[in-house]
Amino acid sequence: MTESMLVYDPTAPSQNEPQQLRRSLEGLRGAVVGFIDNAKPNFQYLVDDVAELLTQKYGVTSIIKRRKRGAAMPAAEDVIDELSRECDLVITGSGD
Amino acid sequence: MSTRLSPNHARLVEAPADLDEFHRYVAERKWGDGLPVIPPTQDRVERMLRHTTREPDDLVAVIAPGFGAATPRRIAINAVMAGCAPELMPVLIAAVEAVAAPEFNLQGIQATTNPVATWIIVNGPIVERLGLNAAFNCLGQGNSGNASLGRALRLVLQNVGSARPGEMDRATQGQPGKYTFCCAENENESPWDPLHVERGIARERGAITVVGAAGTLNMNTHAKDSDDLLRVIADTLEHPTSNDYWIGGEPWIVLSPEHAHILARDGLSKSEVKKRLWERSKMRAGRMAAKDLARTQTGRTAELGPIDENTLLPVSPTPDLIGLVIAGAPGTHSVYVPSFGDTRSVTREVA
Amino acid sequence: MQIAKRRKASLTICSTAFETLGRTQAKALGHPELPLAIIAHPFGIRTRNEVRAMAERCVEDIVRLATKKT
Repeated sequence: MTESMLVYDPTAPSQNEPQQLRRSLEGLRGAVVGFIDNAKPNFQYLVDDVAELLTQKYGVTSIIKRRKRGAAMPAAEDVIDELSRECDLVITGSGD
Repeated sequence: MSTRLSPNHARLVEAPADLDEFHRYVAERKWGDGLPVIPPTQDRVERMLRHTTREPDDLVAVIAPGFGAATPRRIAINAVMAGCAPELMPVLIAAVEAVAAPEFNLQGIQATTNPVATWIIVNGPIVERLGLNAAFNCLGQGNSGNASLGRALRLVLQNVGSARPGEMDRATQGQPGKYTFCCAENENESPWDPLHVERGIARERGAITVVGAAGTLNMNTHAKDSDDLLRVIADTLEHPTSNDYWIGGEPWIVLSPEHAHILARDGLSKSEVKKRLWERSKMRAGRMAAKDLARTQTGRTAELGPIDENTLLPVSPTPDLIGLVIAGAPGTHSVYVPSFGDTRSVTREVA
Repeated sequence: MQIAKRRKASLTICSTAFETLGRTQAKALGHPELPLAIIAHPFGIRTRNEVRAMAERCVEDIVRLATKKT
């Protein structure tokens, strides 16, 4: 057995307490769905297509699309307010 | 009832005392940067903490993207590991506070695929007192203060902010500046007010500025005329794969004292230099790839109005956002430091 | 995430190269169960038709994740 010494762990756990934030919908029929487009190439097409399919196949009644100025920045507070208020489900994007 | 430790509480653990084994122990836990670190024992951390008046477990800043609490003790732990002299502690605390300012966009900087590193610029009388390097090879190796300060900030970002490569740090390649990136301004050789004075801090106070730096590019020119010098620097700024141009960023120039004196000799103030560089570095948007031009249209239409391929894009929204710092020794080399784009440098006084 | 904090159903479309980040980040933000609909990386180079095909697969994931009981 080799000798040991006491050292501090240099890492830190997240300050944020785990929360049960998940919300499920009964179904999508009649729902309002919002999108926050991360402004990466092609994402707007994916949003367009997913929105169309949700409307045609799953009975979503209305779609709200908003776009971020750039991927590496948070969405504007007023966009978050608007979508939280108006939508039953909000879809965001990450990655490229 | 179980007691839950506060997230500010730093844990003590048993580690091998043998240095070779300790090196492996650190690597396995991904606590280091690959190079050997000094064991953060209680004694060493205590010595570091004597150089701050702040309570060891108080919150200095929450570090994205892992949202760990950077306390003076945790900063000291990482400073010990990086090899900082205890006297550097207040400088490092100021740097940690600065990177957490919202305009720095630490979340973006830490989690991006971009190589962006955090560059620390030190100003004021503390430069001399702490023996930091503003001259020969100031962005290179050789000075313990420069090397360990930049390295300590990286370890805080990685350990307290949980930005480990391939996990939450998504950098495609990264850059050598992510090991360490720190220099002082060569105020003695500058013809202008130093950076901290430009930003409203008294000359006799110590200050740090943190910059989201995407890399360094050497600009070697024997231009001896200010107009000629500004022309070639402005031309170097322009490149179609730049983050600064697509989002409206904050590019930096490290001017060598020689280059700065040519500009000052011709009667140019710092703000006039920025203005001329800004005007002359406007880039035709059509030089960008089509997809990047489309991103620029999303990112900068609010700022510039409709953008097409003939639009002349300024590198930053306003001329004052071009950063100028004087550093280095004799020589005809200045450095272009493109930024992450979606970030603004932050200056803080060192307590 | 800001949306989830407002007690609203939300999910994130994420490319495979960002899945680790998405999951670790969600955990760090105190929302380990943030639903992720995963698409293949690199996404930006796909043709318009390929995006359409990806959207068809993605929409099924979205519906499944949005209506999944916890």
